[in-house]
Amino acid sequence: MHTAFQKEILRSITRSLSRFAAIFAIVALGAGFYAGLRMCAPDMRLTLDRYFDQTAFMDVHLVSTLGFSSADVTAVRQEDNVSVVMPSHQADATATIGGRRATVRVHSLPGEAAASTHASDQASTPPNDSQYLNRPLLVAGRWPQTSGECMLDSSKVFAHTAQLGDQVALTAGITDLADTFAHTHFTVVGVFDSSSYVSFSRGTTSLNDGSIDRVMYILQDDFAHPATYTDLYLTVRGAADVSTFQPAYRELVDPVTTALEKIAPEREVARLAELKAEAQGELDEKRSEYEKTRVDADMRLAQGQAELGEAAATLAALEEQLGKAQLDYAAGEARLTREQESFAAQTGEAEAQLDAARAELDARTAELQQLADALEALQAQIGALEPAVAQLQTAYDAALAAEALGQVVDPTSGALATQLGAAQEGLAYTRQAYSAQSALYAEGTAATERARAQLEAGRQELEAGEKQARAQFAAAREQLAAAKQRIAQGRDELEVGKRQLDDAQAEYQEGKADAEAELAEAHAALEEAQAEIDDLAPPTWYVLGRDTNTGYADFTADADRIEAISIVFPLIFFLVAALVALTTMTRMVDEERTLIGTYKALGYGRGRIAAKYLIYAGAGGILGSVCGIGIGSQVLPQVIWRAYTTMYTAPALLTPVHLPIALGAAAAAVGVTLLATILAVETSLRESPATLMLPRAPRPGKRIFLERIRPFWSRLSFSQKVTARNLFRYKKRLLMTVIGITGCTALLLTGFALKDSIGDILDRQYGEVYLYDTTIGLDPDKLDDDTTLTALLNDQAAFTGYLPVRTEGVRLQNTTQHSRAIRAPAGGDATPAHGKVGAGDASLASYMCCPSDLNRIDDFIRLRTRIGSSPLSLSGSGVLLTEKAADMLSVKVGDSIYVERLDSAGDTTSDAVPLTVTGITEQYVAHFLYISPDLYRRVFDDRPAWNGVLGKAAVTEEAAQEALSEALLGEDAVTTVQFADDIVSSFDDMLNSLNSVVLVLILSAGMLAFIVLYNLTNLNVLERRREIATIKVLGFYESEVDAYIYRETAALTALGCVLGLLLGVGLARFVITTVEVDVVMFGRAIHPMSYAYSAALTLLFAVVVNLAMRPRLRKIDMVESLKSVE
Amino acid sequence: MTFVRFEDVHKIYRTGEVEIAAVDGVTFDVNRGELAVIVGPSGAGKTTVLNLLGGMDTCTSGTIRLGNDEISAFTPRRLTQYRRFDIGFVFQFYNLVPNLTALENVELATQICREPLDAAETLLEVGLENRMDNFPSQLSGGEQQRVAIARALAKNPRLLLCDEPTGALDSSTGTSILTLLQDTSRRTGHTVIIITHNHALTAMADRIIQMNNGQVVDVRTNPRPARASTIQW
Repeated sequence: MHTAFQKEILRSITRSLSRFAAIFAIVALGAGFYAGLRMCAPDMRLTLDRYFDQTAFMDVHLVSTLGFSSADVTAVRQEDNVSVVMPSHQADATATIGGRRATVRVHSLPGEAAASTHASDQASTPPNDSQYLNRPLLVAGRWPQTSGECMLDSSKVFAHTAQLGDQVALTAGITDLADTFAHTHFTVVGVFDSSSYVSFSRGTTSLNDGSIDRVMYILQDDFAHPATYTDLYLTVRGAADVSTFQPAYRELVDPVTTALEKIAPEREVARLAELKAEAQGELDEKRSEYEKTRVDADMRLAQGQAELGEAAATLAALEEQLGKAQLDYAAGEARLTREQESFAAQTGEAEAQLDAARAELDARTAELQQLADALEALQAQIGALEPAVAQLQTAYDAALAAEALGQVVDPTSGALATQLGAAQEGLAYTRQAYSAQSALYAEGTAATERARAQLEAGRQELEAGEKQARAQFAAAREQLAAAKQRIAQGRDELEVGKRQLDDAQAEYQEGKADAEAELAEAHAALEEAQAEIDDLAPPTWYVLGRDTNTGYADFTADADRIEAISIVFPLIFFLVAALVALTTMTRMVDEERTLIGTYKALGYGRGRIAAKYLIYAGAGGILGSVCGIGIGSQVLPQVIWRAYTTMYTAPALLTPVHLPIALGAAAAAVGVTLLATILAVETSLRESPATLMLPRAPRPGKRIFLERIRPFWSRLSFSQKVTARNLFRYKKRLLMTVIGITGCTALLLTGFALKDSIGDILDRQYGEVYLYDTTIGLDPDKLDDDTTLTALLNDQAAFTGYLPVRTEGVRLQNTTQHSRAIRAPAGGDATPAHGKVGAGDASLASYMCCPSDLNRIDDFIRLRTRIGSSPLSLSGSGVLLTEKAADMLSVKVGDSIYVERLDSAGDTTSDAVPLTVTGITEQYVAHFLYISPDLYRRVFDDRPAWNGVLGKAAVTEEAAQEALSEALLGEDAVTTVQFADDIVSSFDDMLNSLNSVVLVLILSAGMLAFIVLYNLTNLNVLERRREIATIKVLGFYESEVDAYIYRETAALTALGCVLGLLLGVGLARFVITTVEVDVVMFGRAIHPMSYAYSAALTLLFAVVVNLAMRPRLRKIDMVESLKSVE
Repeated sequence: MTFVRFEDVHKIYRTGEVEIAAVDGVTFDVNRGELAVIVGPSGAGKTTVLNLLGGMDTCTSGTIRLGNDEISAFTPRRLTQYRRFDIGFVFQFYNLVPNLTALENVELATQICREPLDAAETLLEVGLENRMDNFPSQLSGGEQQRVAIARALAKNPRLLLCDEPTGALDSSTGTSILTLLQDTSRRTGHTVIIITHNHALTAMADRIIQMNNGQVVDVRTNPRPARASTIQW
């Protein structure tokens, strides 16, 4: 086996170790760097996959807008290939944790399953429970066991980690807190890590500023509706056995996802039906209750009504009675009247008769009187007559006597006698008459007396009758009066009754109305509930894969980014490896010309001879690959991972050697080396042994291109000319060195630029763009008369200035996206639950900020262009858009963007409004759209309600800020307080971890430079020993000898350096834009110092290599110059 | 007048345990303006003498003087200056820098010393006025050696050391080179020491130092040196 040829190969290696080392080193570097970088992403993926497997991370996450019932769970469980279904609860809430406000996502913890997890063996499967998914790992404390206990996530990003024993109070939820949680106060008993939350970004919510700060686990029973699940987590059979990043995983999970999507509509309908049935059942119960109530009420009403009716009837009867009584009374009265009348008539008649009788009597009496009068008259006549007669008689008698006496008889006597005779006659007659009359009178008087008696009798009779009648009448009247009184009394009673009835009726009516109103209300409520039930839309199921998990997505994206970088970076190394191999092997073949000739002469075949060099180079390549890959695969991923660990909570990185990559890297590196070797050997092998035996004619000196440029060439010093010619004499070396140094400088610049740009995020964002340092979140509804807040803000000792703003979430689209969205609106509603932004959304989530005072905005936010720093002003004519957003939307100044406002649940509330972008402003963290209040009002037809305050705190010490924060949070309207310092300090950690990446880049760059320069110098020294010896003999000082050789190195280094800076700018940009996450714009400017550092380091490497090579130069014996050319 | 003086110079090389005395008590003088030839077979120690005299190596013991300078006491730095300012060296294999033109090869030397001759003129003097811009690969061996001589002369050295200047040349070219050396020596008064194994060269020397086994076996002067052009071998 150990043939002389083999021995020779072995010795050629051991005797030219420096040359071998060059090949070994560059291959080790190239292969190691390539493999290490390439393995980084697979390592990350493997680590995550393993972590997922160990914590039984779900494959599919089901979310329903109306939750899941056990029937849903069963249905899902029955799907093919569904391995485990774990129903779970999840809700977001605003909480106070140990006195600090935070937005938390609350999960339910299957208590028993969790408790059975061994604390000592956190990552392992809990012994019995395969049904337990998404297992958090206990980091400190213990598992929650009783109601009111909780576990909080360990958080690297938030400075204030929870302490065991801290109190957590949930203060507000998306919906009513009581609807969601049975408990709102918890005690922290444990701290966990979870595979569901590997990245520092915990996801998004519709609460507060939209991002989840903390995650907590509580027991399932501490949720208000433990039986209605909000989330289903499930695993797919066999999925744990394949990597989540392999197509095989998708092949396993996708069918399940599809199947679930297929049953989703059915389940949605079923769930709807179920919910409807449930709700309907409840409603029906309520309805029947209502019916009962209604019937009761009706009955009570009817009864009341009946009672009222009865009362009314009684009253009616009473009234009727009264009527009748009245009638009777009236009749009685009428009769009485009639009777009285008839009696009166009768009496009248009788009286009339009596009167007539009396009249007659009176007449008779009168007659009698007349008679009496007449009698009297007669009597008087008589009386008169008698004296007259007596007189006459006397007179006559006297006359007679006188006659008698003789007197004269007067004629008269005769007359007297006649007269007397007449008087006597008359007297007699009168006397007669008188007697007759007297008789008559007597008769009349008797008759009258009789009549009077009669009349008296009649009268008496009448009076008696009258008296009787009157008595009768009085009795009747009395009766009537009694009756009347009775009637009146009855009427009064009736009135009272009626009034009572009316009252009762009114009361009844009122009661009825009330009852009816109540019932109507109840009915309306029922109807409403019914309508609600009827209108109940089917829930939407979201079948979410792992890719919707924020941590997974972030992690995957980062792994992909690293992968993208890992493809570009190593190119330089391979290129350099090829060139190193080529130059080295060319030199070796040149050196061994004679040997090759001898071999040929001895009869070795070309292949055999070539094999020597191939074995030589191959051995270097393979050894280098093994070492490089061995080291690179362990070191690089760890270093890069370390830069990411501040952002991830994941277990230690697994760094197995990924064979395909390792073999690929080795094959590439060795292949490149062998190819270069073949190129180097090929020409020599073709030559005949005879020519090979002769020393190769030294490479002829040649005029180089530069010499044609006379003005330039003539200006060069002699040694510069030598250097220039030498440079161009060995083009391969030039190429190798320049490319190597270019790569070195580019790597360095990339490393520094990476640090610059990430450092700039904060420095520029918080140092230059944001002039405020405090963000206060406000609840606009509680703002109105919060005068203490105003006082606090105006307190110069607290704030030197403040500016109210309106900040809200918006979605932005450019014109193309907008028109596409309009054309295809169907897919537009695919906003998954929990406010996540669906993948492939043709819009950009952003904030819209409306400052209250355009004149003062410049004191708080410097609106300006990044390039040129020319200030931008916010006007009513358009909006300012931040740079990254503009980039992502491909929007330029003057373009339109479509803005949709979002409600608290993250759904769009308005139509997309086109706004003109009047400026693109510098911004590094988050996307903003600045709008003037004027335009806001005009466009959204709405007053901007200030929901935040940008403040410039007067205090900078942490304690003082803490106190200020406390004071602010004591205000009702204040929801959050955030100081820029907090953000800055949490980012600083991240920045520091980046140092290791920069260090790796510096080391790699350094190694690259070393290898290349070492190789170059080595070759130069080897090849030009004689030349060097000669110039030494010529009396060149050591420094001049060094310069003679190093001037070339220096020139190449300088050239490479310049090219490297140029390439570095591009490479840095590539790396930065590749590494950059969507919501952040890394600084774009590479600091001047970084150029300086990169160049200086490159030069330093060159100097170090030169210093290292100096002994070799020194060692060159001047005696060499006397030797013959080999 | 003695210009170069070797006094009991020893040079012992140590390789492991073995000590080899390459030069073993060499003593000789060369006068100013002389053309001396050190002649001897391979291994006689003449190259070591050349190395020591040329400042490329230091002796183990003894003194070497050039004029008033004691070279054997020089520091390496001083030795470099000595090579730089005092010595012109002509190599057997010319040792031209292949990447420099003839002129530039001369300039390589003139640019580092104090009072150099004009490079182009020197080349003219060696008869290469038409080849100045040629690269060594474009020149014949003799021409290359002329360039080498020009390079050595242009430094205007106190001592011109030539190591087998004709060793790689054919006889007639060798003769012309020797002629050039002799003429130069005569014309400019340069002290020239030629080291060779070729006894034919002794004819043209003013002084012949014969060495063997690290020792000087014979030193003689040649009152009537032959014209170099007449030498043949």
